[in-house]
Amino acid sequence: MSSSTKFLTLKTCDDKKFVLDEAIAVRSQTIKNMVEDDCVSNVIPLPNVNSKTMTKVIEYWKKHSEEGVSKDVLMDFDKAFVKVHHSILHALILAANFLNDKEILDMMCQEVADRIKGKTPEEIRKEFDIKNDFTPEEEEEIRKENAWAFE
Amino acid sequence: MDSILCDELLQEIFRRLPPPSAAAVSLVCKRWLHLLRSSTTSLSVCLIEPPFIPLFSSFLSFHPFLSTVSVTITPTVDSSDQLLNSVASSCPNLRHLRFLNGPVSTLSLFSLSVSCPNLVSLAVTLFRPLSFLWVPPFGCLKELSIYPAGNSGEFDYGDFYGSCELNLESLLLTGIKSGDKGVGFLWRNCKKVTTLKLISCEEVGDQGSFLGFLQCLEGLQELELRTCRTIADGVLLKLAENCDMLNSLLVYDGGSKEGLFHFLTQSKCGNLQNLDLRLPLDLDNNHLTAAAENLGSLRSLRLQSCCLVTGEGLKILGNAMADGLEELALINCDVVERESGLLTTLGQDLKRLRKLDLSFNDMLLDKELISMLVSCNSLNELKVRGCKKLTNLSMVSLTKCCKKLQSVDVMYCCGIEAHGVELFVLNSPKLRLLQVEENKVSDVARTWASNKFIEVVP
Repeated sequence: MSSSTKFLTLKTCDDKKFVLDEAIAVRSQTIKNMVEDDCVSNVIPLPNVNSKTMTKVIEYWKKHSEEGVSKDVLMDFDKAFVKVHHSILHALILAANFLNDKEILDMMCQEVADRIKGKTPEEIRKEFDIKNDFTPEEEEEIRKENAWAFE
Repeated sequence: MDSILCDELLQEIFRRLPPPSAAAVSLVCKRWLHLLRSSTTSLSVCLIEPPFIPLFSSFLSFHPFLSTVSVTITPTVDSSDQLLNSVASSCPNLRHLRFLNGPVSTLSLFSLSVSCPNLVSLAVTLFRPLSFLWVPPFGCLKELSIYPAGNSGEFDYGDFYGSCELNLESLLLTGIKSGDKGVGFLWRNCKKVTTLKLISCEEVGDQGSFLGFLQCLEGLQELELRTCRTIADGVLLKLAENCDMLNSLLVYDGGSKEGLFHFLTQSKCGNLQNLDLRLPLDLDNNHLTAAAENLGSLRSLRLQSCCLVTGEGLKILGNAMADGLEELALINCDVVERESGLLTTLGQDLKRLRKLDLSFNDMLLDKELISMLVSCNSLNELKVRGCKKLTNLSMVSLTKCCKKLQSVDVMYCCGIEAHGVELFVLNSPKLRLLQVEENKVSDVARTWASNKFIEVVP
């Protein structure tokens, strides 16, 4: 590592601090913009991200910044990375959105889509903890409309 | 999740769903239904019985960002004009519309041009007598596909249409007959057409004179003639004289021996890059020799069911096109099986070959294919669908000789077994798509394919 390595301190909403190589932290477009605009003092506050989520994000950033890691290894890493409880998945989507990291956001949205794929409405509701707010009549009407478009 | 993710992110997720999941997503809850519909830009509707029009209209208007709509009506539905009006008034942002099987009236098409002024491509079924007066008001229209249906019994004003410049770039016409005078309006006014496709046309609408038709040929870059036996020769004759720009020609089931020969020897199509011929029964070595001499710029040659061609003609062609040809298809051409050593010679000559299609040569043997593949190291696409004599040996040879293969089709090759498929999948670093029967994909091969993002489809 060169002698000019700069470190940034990120502070999550639960007041935990993460000290990170600037070269890695700028994977976040949001942080990159702050650095470029020179509005970084000592600590960058991340009011929308908690420490648990930030730990995951940093784990991803570090792995993908390592030198000499083969594509296969990264692919296996990504696969394991998305296999988390859906509450963490959603927290990661929100974090990736706030940090403006398109790579993580894409991967996470794809994972949620993969979890929706092939399920019945009831299974989806259960998986994502959603309440059915349709009346039986409304449901019937949508089914009829769907018969035009999706069959 | 419902409360955690904002609308924008949820829609981001919906955009990644395969279409069959949409029905389930729409029934999860009101918020999801609303978000799904407002992120839908493309809708395909199939109507088996007439829908209640107000319901259909409101269904469409729940999707405010629709830009592509396809409506297929089964012939028993006869309210097609009302349905088209319903689409027109509910989808103002429409850019692409396919509205097939239910013939629509000129009047409905006029009102469509007012409601959907941004329409870029349109496919419709029309009543006879064909009229195209409604086309000019569609100022943005670039692609038009016409499928004529029954007769409306109205008087044919075809001869009296005037002139006005149309911006159409791509035109597809099916089933044109000699009495369809209205087509002349298109020929006269389509000066910018670069792609023309004629399917099952007996005539071009002017009793065989081709006079009007000629005017639209000048800038033509791509022409397809499918099952147009009666006009194929006439069109080829005019084409040879008038198409400097042509780079792609497809003739399926049409074109006589003389007609094709005249085209291949006389054509001034110096830019012709793609030639695709199916079932020209009389195509022989003379044609291939003529092509070898005259069509130096050819990049892709596809021949299907050409049974008079022998190895001699193909060798001359292969030799002449050695530096240019990137795609070769000899589908169901028994010369491939008949003449031992032909594929070897072709392989050695055609060093630049990227795509090879030898489908439906059911007697093709491993040793013939392998001796060609040895020289075809740059191949990235191979189809040997229905080559029943091929075995695992061919698959082994593929992994050794053709390291750049991205797409392979070995459907209906009963001699190739699961073992061969597995070996091939595990040893093809660039493979992205494999077409093979499901029962030939072992668990090992399937897991490997899904890890390496290789799509395996039957």
